[in-house]
Amino acid sequence: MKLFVKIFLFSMIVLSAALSLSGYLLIMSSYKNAVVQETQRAMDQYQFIKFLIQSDIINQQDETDKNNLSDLISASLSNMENQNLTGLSNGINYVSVFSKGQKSIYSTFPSDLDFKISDYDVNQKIINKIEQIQGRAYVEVLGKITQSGQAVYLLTATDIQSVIDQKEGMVRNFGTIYFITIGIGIVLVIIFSTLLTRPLRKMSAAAGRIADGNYSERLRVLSNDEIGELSKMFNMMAETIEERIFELSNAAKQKEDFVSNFAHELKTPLTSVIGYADMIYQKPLSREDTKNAAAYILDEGLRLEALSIKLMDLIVLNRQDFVLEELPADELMQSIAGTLKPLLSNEKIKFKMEVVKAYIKVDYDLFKTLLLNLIDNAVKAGSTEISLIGEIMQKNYRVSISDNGCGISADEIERITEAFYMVDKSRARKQHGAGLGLSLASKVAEIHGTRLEFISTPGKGTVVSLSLPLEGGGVSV
Amino acid sequence: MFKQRILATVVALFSLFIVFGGWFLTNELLDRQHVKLMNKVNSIDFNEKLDVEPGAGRTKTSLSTKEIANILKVWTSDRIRHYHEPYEGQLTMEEAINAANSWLSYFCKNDILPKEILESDFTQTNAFLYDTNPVSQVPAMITPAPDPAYSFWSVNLINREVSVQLMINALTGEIWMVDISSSSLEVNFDNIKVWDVLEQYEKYFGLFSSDEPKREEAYASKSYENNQIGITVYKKAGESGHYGTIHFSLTSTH
Repeated sequence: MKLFVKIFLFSMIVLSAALSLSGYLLIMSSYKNAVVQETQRAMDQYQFIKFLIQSDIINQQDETDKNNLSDLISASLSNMENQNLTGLSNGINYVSVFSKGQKSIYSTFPSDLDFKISDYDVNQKIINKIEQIQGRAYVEVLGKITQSGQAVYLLTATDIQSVIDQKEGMVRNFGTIYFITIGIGIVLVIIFSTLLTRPLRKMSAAAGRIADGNYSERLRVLSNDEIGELSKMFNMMAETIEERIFELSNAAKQKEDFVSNFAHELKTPLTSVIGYADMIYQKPLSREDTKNAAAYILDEGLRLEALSIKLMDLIVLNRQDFVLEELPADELMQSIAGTLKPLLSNEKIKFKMEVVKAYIKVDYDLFKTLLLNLIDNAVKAGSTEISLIGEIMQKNYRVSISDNGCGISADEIERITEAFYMVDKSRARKQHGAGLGLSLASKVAEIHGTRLEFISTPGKGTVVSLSLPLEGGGVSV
Repeated sequence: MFKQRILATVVALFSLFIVFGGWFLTNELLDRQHVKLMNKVNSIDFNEKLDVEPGAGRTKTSLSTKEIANILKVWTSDRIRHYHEPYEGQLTMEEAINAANSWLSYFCKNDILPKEILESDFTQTNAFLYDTNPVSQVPAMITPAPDPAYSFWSVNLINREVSVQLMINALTGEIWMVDISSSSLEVNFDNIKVWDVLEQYEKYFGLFSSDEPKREEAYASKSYENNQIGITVYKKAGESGHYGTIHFSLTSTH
């Protein structure tokens, strides 16, 4: 069931119940109070007439020698009627006096009384109840008049039809108000429900458009209430979804590029190997040609080997958690310098090392791999001088490798850490390069919580640096 | 779509049911309450007093001055008065009328008031007993007055020319207020000295005070018991130029 319908139904039930209950209580309360007041008025009227009768009886007894109560009362009431003392003749009140055997002594009631005295106990009691007389409501009050050991019954009736009519009028008015209020309520509830559910419908439509691929869809936040909060949260969610989709798209594209480049890098040496092997197999070649062909096969084979080793390293780096340990930086650099000495000596490259003593947190093998790759790159760039600097800058230890090689142009720098990317493919292949060295180094730097920074001038050289936090070992002595 | 239409129809019908159901239920409940009220029989108990035997004396009850002052304050306030049957200890109607007649007879025979009042043939004598306590819900079960001293009998002796109204305390039987009006030339109060009336009225209550009274030709008043209560007497002239009305009463001066 739609929210609109639920709100509508609930409002109708509440409104109807509230109106009905309040109407009932108001009318009932007012009606009861009116009846109580009219009953009191009737009681007063009864008592008034009783006092009049009793006074007159006492008077008559003093003045005459009449003793019969019925005769006394009959004379008293006739006398009163003549003097219009009781309002007996105006039709508003009725009076009846009768003996114990319900024999009427005096009565102004329009018809025979339809109740039995014996049904009521009026000994030391005054009874009152509401009765219908000729279609009108009266409060009848019944009591006993005792005088000189004799007793008669006095019954009075006071018209209270106006109270009944008033109540009927109130009910009619209430009915009118009830239905008008319900009608207005229906209109207001419909308007309110529509306004309340409109933002939710907009939200639903926006969610549908996002599901269709329009990830930039956002809602306008127009209020500070719960709906406004929901809209804000919806926008945040949409933004997060858009970012994730973007990241996933990029990751998928990178994977695609990686696979494509990898396939390409694999294909090239294999093509040469197959070609030269086929040539050796198919044709009788001279020793010289055979040696040349074998040399190509060896060359490409070595390149494939380097490629597979580096690929393995990349895969391993992606899958392992590494535990870093505090090591003296200067000793680490010394070890690297020792490994590179033969290579650098062969290439007749001048190597300078200035390393400040300090402790850094590294994985020994990985960090060595990083530095070796960077220096290897510097060698492949055709450098004649390579420097390895380790210095303290504020709270960090900065390692820089600078060369005077061919340098890298500004538009290439952003891509040099991509897997398989080579600035100069021909030069790289000549040196058995696979385009994975800087990708590896970048990954290692990431594992150590840092990144590689490249400053390069084509034709002049390149400086590659990274910063690591200084550790508690401080400066080693 | 078809389901939506069915649901909308069901909802609309249910709403109509709620709206009209509420209306009919309210009406039904009101009708039931109405029938209940119409059929209810209420009864009020009272202690009926047997006729007083002629010559039988009542036990005299007296009130303190403070009590009298408090009762008078209530009698002269705007509190609603209701008729009621005599409570335990209160005068019957016959006793009240007898007390009124006796008092009037005494005052007239001793020339405090004109004898001509007694000679008037009163065509109407009636007495009404009023309760000045607040009335609880009617019908009320046995609710004797919290204090029967707060009720009073209003006894009226009337003929064409003279009207005598007396307020009698229903418990003590004392006459606490008298109002006599006459349109007859034969019955007037020209020769009545208000000061004499005050003195006699004072004696009737057994009051005494050394305070200086206020005295004028047609007005006199005096306070008693440290200004707690007082007696006021005044007479008024009618159109004929004679003093046709006299009033005297106990008053609360506190």
